[in-house]
Amino acid sequence: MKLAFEVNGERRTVEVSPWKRLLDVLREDLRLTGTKEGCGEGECGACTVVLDGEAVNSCLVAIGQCDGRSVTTVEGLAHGGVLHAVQRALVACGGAQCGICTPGIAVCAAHIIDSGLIGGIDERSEVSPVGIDVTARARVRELLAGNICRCTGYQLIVDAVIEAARETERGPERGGDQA
Amino acid sequence: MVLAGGTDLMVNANHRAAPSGILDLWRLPAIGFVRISDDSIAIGAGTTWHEVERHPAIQARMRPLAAAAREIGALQIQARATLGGNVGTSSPVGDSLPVLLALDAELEVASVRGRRRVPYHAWCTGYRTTQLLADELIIAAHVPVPGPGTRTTWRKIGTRRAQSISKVMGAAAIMLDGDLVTDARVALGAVADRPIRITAVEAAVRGQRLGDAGEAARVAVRAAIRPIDDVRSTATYRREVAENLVARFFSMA
Repeated sequence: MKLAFEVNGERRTVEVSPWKRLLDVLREDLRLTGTKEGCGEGECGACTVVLDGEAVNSCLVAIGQCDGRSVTTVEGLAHGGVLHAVQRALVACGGAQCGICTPGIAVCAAHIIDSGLIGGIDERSEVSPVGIDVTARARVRELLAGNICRCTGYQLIVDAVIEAARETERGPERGGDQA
Repeated sequence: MVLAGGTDLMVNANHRAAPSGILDLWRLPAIGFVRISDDSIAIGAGTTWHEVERHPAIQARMRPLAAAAREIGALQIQARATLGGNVGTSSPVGDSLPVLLALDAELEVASVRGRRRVPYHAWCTGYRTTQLLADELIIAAHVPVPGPGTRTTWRKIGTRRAQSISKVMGAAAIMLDGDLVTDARVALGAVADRPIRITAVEAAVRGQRLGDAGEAARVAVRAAIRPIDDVRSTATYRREVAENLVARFFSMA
C-alpha cells in the first residue's frame, strides 16, 4: 500500500504493508531511529510519538491508519537547532540514564506542556474525580504514567518537566537562550 | 476484522501475520459522537477514553465513567482506545465494563439488516464473547443519567493506578430514600469469565438502612463470585478485596 503522511513537518511517502507498525516504518523505512521499541505491547511508552495532536504508542498504530496524517517524533522536537524546553530541562536536571525511555518521555512531556494538559504549574487545581492529589507534580506523574523508566525512579524526570513547564509559562523570551 | 484505536489488536502485531481484511473505523464520524439528552447520554463507539474523561457532561453527570476512563492504561492508551473496543473485546478485566453495568447502559448495534439495542447486562455471553453478530458493528452506548437520589461509584484495584491490568474492579449505583437503600446495581470485573452484575448483593441490600447494607453486601458477594488464580493475583486475594470493595461502596454512598 502506497501512502503519504507528514513527519516532523515534511511530507513523506512509503510503500509498505498497511499492517506494518508506525514504529517500524519510522525506524526502518524513514531511518528515524530516535523512536525506540521497549515492550511492543503499549505498556512502556518508549515508542511515543505525537499523531494528529495526541501522544500515542507508535507500536500500536498500523501504518495503514496514517495516510494523510501528521506525526511528530523526537527528531522533530527541536526547532532551528534549538532544543525543546523539555529537552534542555532533561539535560539540565539529569533526567536520563540509560536512554531507552528518554525519547518517549521527551515527546510525551513536550506534548503535555505544549497542549496545556498540566495546567497552572504553581497552583493546586480541583480535586480529581478519583480523588487523586492534583498538585502540578502529581499531574505530571499521572500524565507520564504511560512512560516507564527502569533506571531513574522518575524524580529527576518530573523535576525536568516541571522546570520546562515553568519556563514555558514564563514566556518565550526565556526559551532557547541557552542553546 | 474491524480496527479503531488498535490498543488490543496491534499488540505484538509485528510478530503476527496481517489479517486478511481490515476495516479501519478510526475517526469515523458515524460512531464518533457524544449526544446529550435530558435523561441519557449516547456515547459513540469510536469515542476515545481521553474524550470520555474530558467531556463536561460525562464528568458532571456520570462521574464513575469519567473516573474509569482516567485509569484505563495511561495517556497514550486513552488517546486511542475506544468505548467500542472495550465492549467489543469484552475482556473480563475491561475497566469500563462494570460501570456500564452499574449505570444500566444499552448498546446500539447496526448491520445492513437494521439497528437493534441490547441491554448491556445481557451483552456478554462468556469469556470474551458477546451478542454481536458477525455482520454487525457497535454504534454507541446509551447510558441513562443517574437520578438525583442515586449515588454512583467506581473503584479499581491493581498494582499501580496506570497501565496495570486490574486485579479486581467494580462499580455501583445505589438508589437512596434518606438512608434507606431502595435499590442498587452492583457490578464487578475480574471475578468471573465476564464482567458481572452481582444480583445477590442487590437483593440483599434492598430495603436495608445504609449503615447495615455494607455487611449484608459483603456476605452476599462471598457466595456469588468465582474468582481465579492467575499471574496477576490469587482467588483468595480477589475474593477478600471484592468483599471489601462492595461493602465500601455502601459505606461511601
